[in-house]
Amino acid sequence: MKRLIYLITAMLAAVSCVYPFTADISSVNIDSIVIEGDIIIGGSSHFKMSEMLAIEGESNLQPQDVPATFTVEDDKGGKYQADADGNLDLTSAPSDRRYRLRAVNHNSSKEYVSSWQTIMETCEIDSLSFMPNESNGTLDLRISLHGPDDYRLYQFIMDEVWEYKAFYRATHYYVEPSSSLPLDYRNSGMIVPFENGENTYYCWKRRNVPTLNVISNEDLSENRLVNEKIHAVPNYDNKLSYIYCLNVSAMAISQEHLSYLKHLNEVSHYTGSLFSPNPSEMRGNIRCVSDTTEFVLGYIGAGKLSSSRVFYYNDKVHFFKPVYEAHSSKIIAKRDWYRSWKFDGLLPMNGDPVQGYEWAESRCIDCRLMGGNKEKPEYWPNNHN
Amino acid sequence: MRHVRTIVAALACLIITMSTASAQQVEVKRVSSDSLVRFIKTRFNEKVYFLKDAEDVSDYSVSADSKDFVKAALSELGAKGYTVSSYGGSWFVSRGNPISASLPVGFFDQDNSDIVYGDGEESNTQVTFQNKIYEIGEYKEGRKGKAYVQGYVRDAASGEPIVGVAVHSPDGTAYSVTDSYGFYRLQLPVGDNRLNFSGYSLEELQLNLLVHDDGGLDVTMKEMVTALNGAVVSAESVSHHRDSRMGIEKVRMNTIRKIPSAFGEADVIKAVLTLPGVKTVGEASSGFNVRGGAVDQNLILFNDGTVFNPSHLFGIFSAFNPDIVNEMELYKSSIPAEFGGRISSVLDIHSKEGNSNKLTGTIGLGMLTSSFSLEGPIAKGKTTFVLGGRTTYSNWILNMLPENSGYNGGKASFSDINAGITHRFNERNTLHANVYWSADRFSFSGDTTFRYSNLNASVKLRSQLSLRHTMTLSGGMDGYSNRLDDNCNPYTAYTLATDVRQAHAKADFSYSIGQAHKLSYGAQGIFYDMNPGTTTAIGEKSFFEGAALDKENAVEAAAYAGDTWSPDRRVAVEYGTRFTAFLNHGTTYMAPDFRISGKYSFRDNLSLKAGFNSMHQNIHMLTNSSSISPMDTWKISDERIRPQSGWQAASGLYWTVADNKVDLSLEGYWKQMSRYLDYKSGAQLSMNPNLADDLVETRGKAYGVEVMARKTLGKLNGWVSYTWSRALLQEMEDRGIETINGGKWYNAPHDKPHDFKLVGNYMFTHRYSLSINIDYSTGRPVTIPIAKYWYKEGWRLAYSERNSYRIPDYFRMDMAFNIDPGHYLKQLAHMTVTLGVYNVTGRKNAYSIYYTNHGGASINGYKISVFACPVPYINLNLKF
Repeated sequence: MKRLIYLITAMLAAVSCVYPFTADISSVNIDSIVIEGDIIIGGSSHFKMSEMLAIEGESNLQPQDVPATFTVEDDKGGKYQADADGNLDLTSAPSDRRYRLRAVNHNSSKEYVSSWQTIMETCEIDSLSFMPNESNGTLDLRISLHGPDDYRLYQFIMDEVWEYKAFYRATHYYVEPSSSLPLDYRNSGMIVPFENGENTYYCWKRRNVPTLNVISNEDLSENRLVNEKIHAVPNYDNKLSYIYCLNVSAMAISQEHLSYLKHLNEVSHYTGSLFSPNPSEMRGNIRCVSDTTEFVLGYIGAGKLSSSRVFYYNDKVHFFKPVYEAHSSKIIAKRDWYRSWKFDGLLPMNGDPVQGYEWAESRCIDCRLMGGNKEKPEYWPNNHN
Repeated sequence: MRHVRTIVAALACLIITMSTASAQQVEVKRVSSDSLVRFIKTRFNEKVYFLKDAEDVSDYSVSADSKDFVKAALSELGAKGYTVSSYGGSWFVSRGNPISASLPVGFFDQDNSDIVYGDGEESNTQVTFQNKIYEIGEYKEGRKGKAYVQGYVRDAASGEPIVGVAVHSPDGTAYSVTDSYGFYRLQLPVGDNRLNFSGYSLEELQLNLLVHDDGGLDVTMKEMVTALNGAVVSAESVSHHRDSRMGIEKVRMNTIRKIPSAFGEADVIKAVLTLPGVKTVGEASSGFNVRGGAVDQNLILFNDGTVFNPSHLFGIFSAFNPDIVNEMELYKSSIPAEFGGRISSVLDIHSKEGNSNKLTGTIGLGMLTSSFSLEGPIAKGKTTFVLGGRTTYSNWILNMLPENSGYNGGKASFSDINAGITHRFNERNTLHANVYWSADRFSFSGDTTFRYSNLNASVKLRSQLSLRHTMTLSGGMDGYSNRLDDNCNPYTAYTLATDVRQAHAKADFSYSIGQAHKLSYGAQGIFYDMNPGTTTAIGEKSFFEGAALDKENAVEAAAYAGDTWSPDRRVAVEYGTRFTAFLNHGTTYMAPDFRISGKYSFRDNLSLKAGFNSMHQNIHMLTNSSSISPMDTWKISDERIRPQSGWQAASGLYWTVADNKVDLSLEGYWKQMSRYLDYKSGAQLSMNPNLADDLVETRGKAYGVEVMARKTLGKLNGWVSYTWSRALLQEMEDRGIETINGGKWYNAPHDKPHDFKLVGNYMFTHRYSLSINIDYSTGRPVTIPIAKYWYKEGWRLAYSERNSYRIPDYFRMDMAFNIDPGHYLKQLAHMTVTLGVYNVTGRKNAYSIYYTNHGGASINGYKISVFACPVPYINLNLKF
């Protein structure tokens, strides 16, 4: 159905264009509280409280958390308090109890409580795989799992990590001028070779997948998914340039939880077409204790996670279609080192004192300037740093 | 004054008697023309056919010798402006052209009916058939009072019936309009009469009748090819002021053809949208809203069959082949008691009957579609057929999509077929059979295919039980099915099917009691057979477990009776009632509908009308979107989903001005609806066994004023209208904070208060004309995001109250240049060429609004414009 909505929009898009639209919403009162997190039994949970924001304005930063205390309660009187950052380890919590979250907003002193949740077993993930989809131009990530018939509704929590390389592999790096350098280099700065495998060539980047991915198996004759697509990465995306990894955690959820996430997904992604559902707010399972008519956003589910990951190596599959760019390098005389580094945004990469050092644009040399870092995950399947 | 006249007449008779008694000299003094003619007839046994000029108030005095008296009297009449001629020993006296032959003209003989109206050669001779006198019925001694005259009006060239021809006596005492079979019936006084036939773009006809008794008179009329500026009173104007019903819009195919449309294909539904009081939520959607009603509250009838999805290709085209459609009528206020089952409007579309004289056809070539039609006689004078089909080559639109869009390999197509046969058993009995089939299919990347199909088949027998009693029996079946094939993953591949099927039978009777009363009564039965949803696995690999919701069957039975009472030309009242019973297993809903409308004419060109009607509806469209979508299915009322009901009260003033060329109208209405279905947040509409849990009932109110000026004839013709209206909904149940907009009234999705429309056509010559279409309306209401929040690793949107914002106002102007074929009769094929531009000003109208933060640091709103630039088109139509 969703694909149909896309198709219709796309068909009309063939003869249509898109223009900016702004509505005057200045008079609207925005004061709703958002509470987020799932009670993960046998693992660690993270809860947070935030506020709704005006739609205008920057969105590249996550909103400030509202200071709050989070306590998970079970139906036998057990209480588990999260730390000040909202983290809670429930590794040893029994799974035969029902759980709920109680949260207190420190700013307003209001108390919120979610509905009781029964813990459902999540079956193991059989496999994760990827398949290049040439017609769509995407790398499709697919999941297979099977399990007992009782729990057939899942949400997938995903994050992706990818390793990428700078354009040039530098053997040397630049040390800016300082009094600790040898006298000759105090004004020019110094070019020093990397040691012990250190480099600015390999970087890693991590991102939580924001897609609200839920699947219902109820229509199938058995509780089984085979190669069900759960994520797709465009083939021009730099994520696929070297090694890409998708971490997937599945969690069995209730029908009510599934409806909430599905609805949220629809109103977030499939609005706009005349044929898409009229957007509306759906109430979650959190109530304000002192005022049950207060509209609280969020749904607190509870369950167990089953996790797996898959790696994609572009060296083997060659599905990545890079958008080509050209870079140039040049030898720079020592007297110009500092100026080139400071004002031209260049970095040295290789050479020697006799032949001179080759310099290039810093973003072609230092992979960290493309948003990543040198924090390699412990499970990463290669041994360079 | 009347007393004085009577005395004068009495005195005159006295003088006549005295004069004849005294000598051979005969003398009459100061008598009326009637008396003079009567005197000649009785005293001298002369046969005189006399058609009195209604404005003749002259007194006549004749004094002559007995043997010369007739001549003298006739010459006196001649002197007062009458034309006197003689034929076969009879005298013919009338104003205007001399009257000629009174031979029985063979109106009752089908084989001769073609010659009733002279063809090119005959029209040049002095004696046209208009100058003849047609005798109706057998002469009976002493027959007095009034007699019924009835018959069919057909097109001279094709032999097909013509609808909407006004048939009336010059003084307006007798009046009728031909129905969709071209049939009329009226009452005329025994004796000499004159009858006018006038219809849109037809040459007006005046016939002289000598009515002896009840009888028939079939007429063929010819299309007007001259006098673009002719001061002809349009049939619409006449019927406008005679009919008590209001809010009826009739648009003919040749008008529809001139209305510019996207991609140039003449479109019945798009033409409906140019009428006041009719709105749509978006320009690429076929659903329409009549006076604040929802899209599923319109009964769309095509040859008596219900069409559940009137659109092709997501609404870019309507389901009706313009080469096949004869005419359409939209009832948006007064709905005759014979119709029921929907609470907002009735769109009644009839296809052609087929040319009874020769084989003809059309071939149409458009940018996205091509079409053909063929019609002609099977048995001359008895049986005709019509056949039409359309198909599309729209895939190029999808191929224009960028390669990376994922839809580049998509396909979309549709086709439809119409077939009809009309058989005349005899003068009194005619059988019509029609079949309509359409199929739409679209897919993308080969993994999801969507299909839907309409099928309608109907048979109708029309029978003249007697001269005053007509019966129409009809029956048939309608079907609408939906299929979704999901092949994304071979292990979960499945088909989802839903079907609506109904079998219907109907008997309609119409019975005239004098000129003043026309009774209509009848009964209708519908059997519903619904498949709300079935899923089945596709392929061997799939372990999808098929499921089926329980099939639903129901019976709807209705009986109705109504009367049109027109005591004189000033007053007319139509009233009726319809009683409907709906049985779905153990659940029964019964309700009466009431319909009444009345008019009072202050003058022949100024009338006031008012009306009220109530309606019930037992079938509901399940849609969660603003527009008709290919995914929508239908649901019949059951134990928990109750019938919708509604009523409308309306009033209007109609004034024909500018030498009877321009019709002005002002209509106002108030409408209320209840139990219209809306949806809870997160409602699941497909394969939901507990559907009623996800639905909410709403009440609606709509009100508005429509002003319109229409000119149907002349070089410049068209209409211009302005509507101010509102349409509001309110949830009926209180569900606490989840109640839609807290239980307050909210804007219906099609609430567009201001609406201006203009459809104009200017004919430079008979061949070349320029058409223009202007549409302005307030933007439709939308629910937009008003806030954002971070949830589950992404920005999510929080929405405003339902429909509390609006997209920008809509404005569009289209123009088309039409080249009609020349009137060379000998030419084998006639080509119509239409060159046009849709959205001439290139205004970037918002089709919809969406918000996204893809590729940017902030969440931005965007509007999609479907036709954001002028879209030129060319359309060719070859008629042979």
